[in-house]
Amino acid sequence: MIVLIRAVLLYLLIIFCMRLMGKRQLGELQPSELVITILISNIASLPIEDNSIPMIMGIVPIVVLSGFELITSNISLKSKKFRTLVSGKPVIIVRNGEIDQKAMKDLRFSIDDLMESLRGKSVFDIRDVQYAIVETTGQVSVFQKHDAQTVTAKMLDVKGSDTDPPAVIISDGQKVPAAMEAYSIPEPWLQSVLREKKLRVEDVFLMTADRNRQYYIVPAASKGGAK
Amino acid sequence: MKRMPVILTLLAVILAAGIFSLVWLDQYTNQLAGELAAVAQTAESNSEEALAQMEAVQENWHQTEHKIGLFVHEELLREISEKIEECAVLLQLNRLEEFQTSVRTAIFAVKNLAHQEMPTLENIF
Repeated sequence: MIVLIRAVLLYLLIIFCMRLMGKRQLGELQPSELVITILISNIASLPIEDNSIPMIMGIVPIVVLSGFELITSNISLKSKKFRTLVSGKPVIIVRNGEIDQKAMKDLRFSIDDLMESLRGKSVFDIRDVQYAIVETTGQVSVFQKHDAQTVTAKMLDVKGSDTDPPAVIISDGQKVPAAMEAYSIPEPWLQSVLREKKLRVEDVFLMTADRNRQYYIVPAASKGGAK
Repeated sequence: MKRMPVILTLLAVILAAGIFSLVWLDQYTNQLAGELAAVAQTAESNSEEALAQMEAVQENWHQTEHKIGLFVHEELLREISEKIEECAVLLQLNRLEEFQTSVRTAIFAVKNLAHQEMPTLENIF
């Protein structure tokens, strides 16, 4: 029972600390953030496993590490020098199509690592690469040569206007007021669309709409799709 | 959520609690060591009174042990509990020479508890 309570308490503490540290995908973590995350998970496991270790010996280091991580990231936001000191800086490993072997050696980045990263960006021929940069997170950003780049509307001089993507306005039978407000979707319009489709809000699994009132409805369960 | 004020408050609370627990533990262990030394001195002249004092010391320790256990590893506390228990048994058996030796080791263990919590270079590294 004690183990259960300790586990729940530490779980809640870790969730709280992770929320304090902010949202980041695992692949986007800075090296220091990754280390802190692993450290916290290790520290938390000790008082859960061993009842003779006081809870405070788990709580204090978790809060202190999260706190210092937050303080460090805040200082990093304000000081470029500090940011460089803590996170390092991006390193160019392919410049004007030339591989910088010295930079790769300094980063202990093998040619296999480079090719793997390029393939991850759908670049299979290294001759197509104009620039490749190893970011501070360890990810590789690639800028392809002009003749290997994907054709864009700008290249073709095709005119158009920027539009916002559709927003979810009904999710699993519940309205999403924040999205409706952000896209200025009035309640009467929503009700009229639902009436037209002979549906209630509770009958809708998913409804998306954009600013031009183009919508898409997926009825719940056996109701069948409608557009 | 204002993250910085929350985390700074938490860190300040932890720091304050840490300093408070350190000062409190130092005072308590000094007091306990003093009480044990007093029992040892009383035992030389009046073993009945020493026995009563020893029981009071035991009672005091058992009540405070749980509070200390909130921030100190159980192993260290168990060691002190065993030493105090040993002192009480030796005193009851009237084996005074062994009792005096046992009290000295108990006092050392009690003082060592506070010493181990002190943020000295030796303890940190």
